[in-house]
Amino acid sequence: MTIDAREGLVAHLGLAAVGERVVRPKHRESSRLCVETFVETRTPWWPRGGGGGDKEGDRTATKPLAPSDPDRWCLDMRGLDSILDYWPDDLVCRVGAGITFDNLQTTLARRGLRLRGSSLRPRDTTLGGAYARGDAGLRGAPGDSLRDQVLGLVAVAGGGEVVKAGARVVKNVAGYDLARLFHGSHGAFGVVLDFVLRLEAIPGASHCVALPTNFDAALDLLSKWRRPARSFDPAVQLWLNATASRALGGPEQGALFLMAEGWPESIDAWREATARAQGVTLANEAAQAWNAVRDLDANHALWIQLPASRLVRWWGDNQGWISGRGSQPNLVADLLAGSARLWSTPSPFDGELVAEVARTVREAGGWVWSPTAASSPSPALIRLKRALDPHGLLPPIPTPVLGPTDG
Amino acid sequence: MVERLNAQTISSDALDAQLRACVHCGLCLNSCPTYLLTGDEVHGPRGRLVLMANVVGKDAALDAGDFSRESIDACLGCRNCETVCPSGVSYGHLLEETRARLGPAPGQTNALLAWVLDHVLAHPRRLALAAMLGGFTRRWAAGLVPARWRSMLQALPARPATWPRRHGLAASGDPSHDQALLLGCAQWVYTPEVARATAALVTAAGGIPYAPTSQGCCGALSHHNGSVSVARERAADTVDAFAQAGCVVVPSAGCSAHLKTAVPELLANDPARSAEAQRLAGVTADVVEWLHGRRDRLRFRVGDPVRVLYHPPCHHSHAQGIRNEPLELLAMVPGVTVVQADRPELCCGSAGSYSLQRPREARAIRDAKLESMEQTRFDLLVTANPGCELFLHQGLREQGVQVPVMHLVTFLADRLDS
Amino acid sequence: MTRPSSPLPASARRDLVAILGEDAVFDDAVHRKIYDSDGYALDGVTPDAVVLPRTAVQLQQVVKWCVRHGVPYAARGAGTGLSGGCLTLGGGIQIGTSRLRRIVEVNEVDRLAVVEPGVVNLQLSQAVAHLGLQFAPDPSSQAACTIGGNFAENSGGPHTLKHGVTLPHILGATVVQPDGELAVWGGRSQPGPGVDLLGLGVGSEGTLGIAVELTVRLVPTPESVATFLAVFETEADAAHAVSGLIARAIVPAAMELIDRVMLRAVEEAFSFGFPLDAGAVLIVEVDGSARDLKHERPVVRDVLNEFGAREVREASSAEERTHLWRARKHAFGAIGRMSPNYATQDGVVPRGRVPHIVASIAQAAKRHDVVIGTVIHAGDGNIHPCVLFDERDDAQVDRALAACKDILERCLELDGSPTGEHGIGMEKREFMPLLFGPADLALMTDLRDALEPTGLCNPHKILPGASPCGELRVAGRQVAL
Repeated sequence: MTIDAREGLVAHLGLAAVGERVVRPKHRESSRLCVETFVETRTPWWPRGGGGGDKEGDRTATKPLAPSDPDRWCLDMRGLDSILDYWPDDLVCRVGAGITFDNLQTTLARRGLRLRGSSLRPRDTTLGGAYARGDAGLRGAPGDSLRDQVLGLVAVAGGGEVVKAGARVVKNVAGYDLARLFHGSHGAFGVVLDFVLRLEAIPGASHCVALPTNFDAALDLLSKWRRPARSFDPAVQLWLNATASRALGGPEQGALFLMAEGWPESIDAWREATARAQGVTLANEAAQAWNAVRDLDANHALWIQLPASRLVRWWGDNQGWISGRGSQPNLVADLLAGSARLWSTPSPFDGELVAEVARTVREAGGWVWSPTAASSPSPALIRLKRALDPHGLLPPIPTPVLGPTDG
Repeated sequence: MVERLNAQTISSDALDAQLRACVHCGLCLNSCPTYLLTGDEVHGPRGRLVLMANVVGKDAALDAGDFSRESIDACLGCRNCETVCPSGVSYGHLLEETRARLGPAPGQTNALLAWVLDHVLAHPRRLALAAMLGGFTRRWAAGLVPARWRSMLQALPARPATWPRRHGLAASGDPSHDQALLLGCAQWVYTPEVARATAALVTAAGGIPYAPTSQGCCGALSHHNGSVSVARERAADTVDAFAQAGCVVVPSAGCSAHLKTAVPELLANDPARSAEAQRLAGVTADVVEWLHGRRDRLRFRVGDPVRVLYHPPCHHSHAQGIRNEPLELLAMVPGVTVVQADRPELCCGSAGSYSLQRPREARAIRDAKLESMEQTRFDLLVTANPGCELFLHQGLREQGVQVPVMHLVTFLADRLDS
Repeated sequence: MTRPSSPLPASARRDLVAILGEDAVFDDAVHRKIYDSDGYALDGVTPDAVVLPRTAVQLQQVVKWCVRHGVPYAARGAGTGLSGGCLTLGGGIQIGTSRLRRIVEVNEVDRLAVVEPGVVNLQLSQAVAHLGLQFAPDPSSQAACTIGGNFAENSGGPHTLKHGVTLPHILGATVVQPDGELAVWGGRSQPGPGVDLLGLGVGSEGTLGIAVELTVRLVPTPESVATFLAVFETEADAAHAVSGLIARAIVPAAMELIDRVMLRAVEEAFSFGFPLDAGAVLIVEVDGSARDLKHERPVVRDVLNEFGAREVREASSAEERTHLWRARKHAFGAIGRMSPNYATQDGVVPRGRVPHIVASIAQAAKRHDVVIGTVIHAGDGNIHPCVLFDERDDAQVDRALAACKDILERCLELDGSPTGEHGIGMEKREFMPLLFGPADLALMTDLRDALEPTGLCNPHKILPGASPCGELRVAGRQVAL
């Protein structure tokens, strides 16, 4: 060998695009050349978006931090930020993976459209980043997550080959759905260059309400809202503990946060119904309330996967000792998705506490994902990783804190 | 062999076309009680149609019969699959053709049964005697019966048989106005009140019932069993007995279905009777259907509130498309709440002589049916076919459930406002 | 790996009987014959044996036995698939899940159910109806097809336009992996971080493992439903109306286009009262709260009229609605009565190009001198053209197949796909290279090899390449719903 990665990247993209172990392509082809260069030079690399999911809270730095490995190059995807195609009749568009949620939604809103699905911190989070992290974005109803809006994508796999998955049709079962490989896998298999997305019209009206409730009443209230099943179902159903609720300016004891969307007639009815249930409207502008929730500063958040009823029970059993460790735990539970973000203010949870949380959640039948701790992947996943990242240049496979075989 | 070839009532080309109507979609599977019981597609309608092609298809070799015997024999003939089939496959018809070619199932038990169906059933008095003897034997002398026939003995109805009576019905009537009743065979002997109730309801609805004396068994059970020549004789006798009748009212779903469709086919090549059989089919009505048509003349008295679980006979739902009529009649009775089991359209396992021929499967299917009723509270089980009535009655008693079981007409007649 | 089908050797039979019992292992001629095809009846593949396990443990032991002895196998639900996905291509053991039909758990607060794979789709919806919930995916075969099969094929259905196909309704699966070990994909929550094996598994046509338990989402049953029948002079008008509705922010629960040929067939078979001189009809169903419908009803009417509907009827009762859907769902049965044979396709085009493909279907019919009746899940752009032919006329068979090929190639030209809900299976493997490049196919192969290293789990499906064909049997007929 051999040229090093830097030389190759400069040759392909020009000096301006290459920084200190970071390269910022602007197009599909230049992105591919970057990966090709990493592969040829056997340079470890990782893709990143806007830092919306950065565990270090570094949203703006030009020199992003690599996960654990100082020699790892960063492929900064924020340059691929345009809407590439738009098919209004189909309500489908193709966008660069580096576009942020806010930029995409603002552009779409001019045409009365939106992408269903959202993200914590939509200002910084790119679609590529949210997809790679498996971020369901607090909209947990079936078909509401970003995962379910992706009809197709183009990616570069770890071996440098460009892969096309899916198509621009809304229904397609041809072949293995390679798009799923890149969902939730934290860039372990490659990087997505662009997405084909299903869009929808912005609902005519929406209404947010926070029903004050402490933990004890949460299950009752939950059952009341969900039993018998109502055909008019809030699109967002979150439960916030006292700390998280207060941080938002919501009720002191914690809140059931509900956001409904639909036709104005339906939302009016919903507004009346929640008023009768002593609901406190968070803000006149529904969008503001929603923004407040989705922008919760959830750094170092543990991601807990437990369905609603088990989660509330788990929290009841465990909040005592978690609070007793000198930190203030914040919990935002997405009742529709069956997941929750748990984080601590002002200082993050220590490793021992994380392990203990993982153990109790495991016992309750769920999983905990953490930015720092991970178990070892299964043999099938290791084979998959070898097939897609033959030179082992990409970050490791993300796994829960406790794997199926640990403890 | 001569009889088997003779059994064909329709050309191979036509049968082939019917077989080919099946597009193999499999929508029938979940409607089939034997598939639900076994989970085995060999015991599902789609599989059976594949096998039928080996018996009645255009290129079928008759010796392929052994190949499919078991699967075909295990079919209840409930025809639920026909109800759900999007392609309109005439499953019931194909089944009867296939059974006709295969002949009655082999084995001594089956031979005995076929003999009973063919020679005892047609004569109500013989049947009554045999039934009384059977009931006596089961109670007092079951140990003397060879083991292989004991299960059949156990499958006999739990009710005592009675001597057939005419309940004062006239032997003839005015063909242009009166209603001739077909009293049936087993029904007449085991549930004599049905004939009485039918007469009362027909009268209440403004009709004049009578019962031709020469009537016997219509031959439906022999026909289901593959005894075509006997079935043809019974059909001929029945047509003769009801010659001139302007309206035939039948209180048994199995018999009304048989008169409407099978009898004309069986007699299609009988020059003396084919036209009359067609005519008779046209004037035959199931009692439920007939009463429903005249329901505005029926008045029912107020009785105690009662929850009635209605079990629809397959020969109504699937063979004749009679589905809502019984429920609507029941709903007319003050104080009645009509309820149904889960999946009411599924067969109870009685299925003509099936419960005698294959008691093990029949009981398992009945158990499933009774289980599907467990979630529902009811005071009374009502149905409209003697087979279902007797078999469900037996099943409930075996489980120690004392809920009364009766024919729809028995219940309705009891609630008539006189 | 290719081997001709043959009955089981005595030792194999003994082993399997030891695992499953005598009444669950079948290698007789009758079973091998009846299990030789599914809803896709153009090809037949005879299995070596059929086994019907009663428990997940038995099923797992059968797979382990297959792995130990190098015997290929394939799982089968109710055999209602339309691409031969469950057939044992090249021989092997057919593992039926029909006896695994327990609903293990229903949790109404978390709105999920845990079911065994042999539970019938409609059976689950009926079992939870009293809670005001349902399992949303509703393939037209829902009265018979199993949830395990829906999982394997990522099944669609008329009402997936609004509620989504199977994928978003599956939360987790316990899977017997090809090596015989159990794995849990997903869980009881919306998939989040971590490799989305569940997403890869849904729609992998049973080639990456056999689900022995599934956790599925339940969704509220709509409070109100309104169903419209709009009559159009031309198919093109009807097709344009579809985009018109979408443009007005209406997302119908279902939107079905029935063309003139199909309309006639349905009318002749069932006398539903469709106008025979119409070019096409559109069935539009909207659902939601009563207030939602108050808003949507007039909009739907307006748009349909605006796009040239000469008549818009609304079903006035539940019975009338059922009646209308019966007409739609029985369309294939009806056209089956018109012709000795027919072949159905399952192409997809972008919704806005439905008018294009409608024109192309008409051209194909003309060019190849065949009759084609079509129903379209119009909101999804998923077309089911039904090409009529008589197998006894070789020339007709050739013309019909040529027409099918034309239509599917046209779907690809229009940026579509050869299959929207039936799967590639053994039927459409040759279309894969037209749809995907060599790198995509190589990656799919790598993916399968990584997750299915044994080569025994439903082999030879999906991906093109040297692999055995079924015994082509045009004598059968194919139906798609």
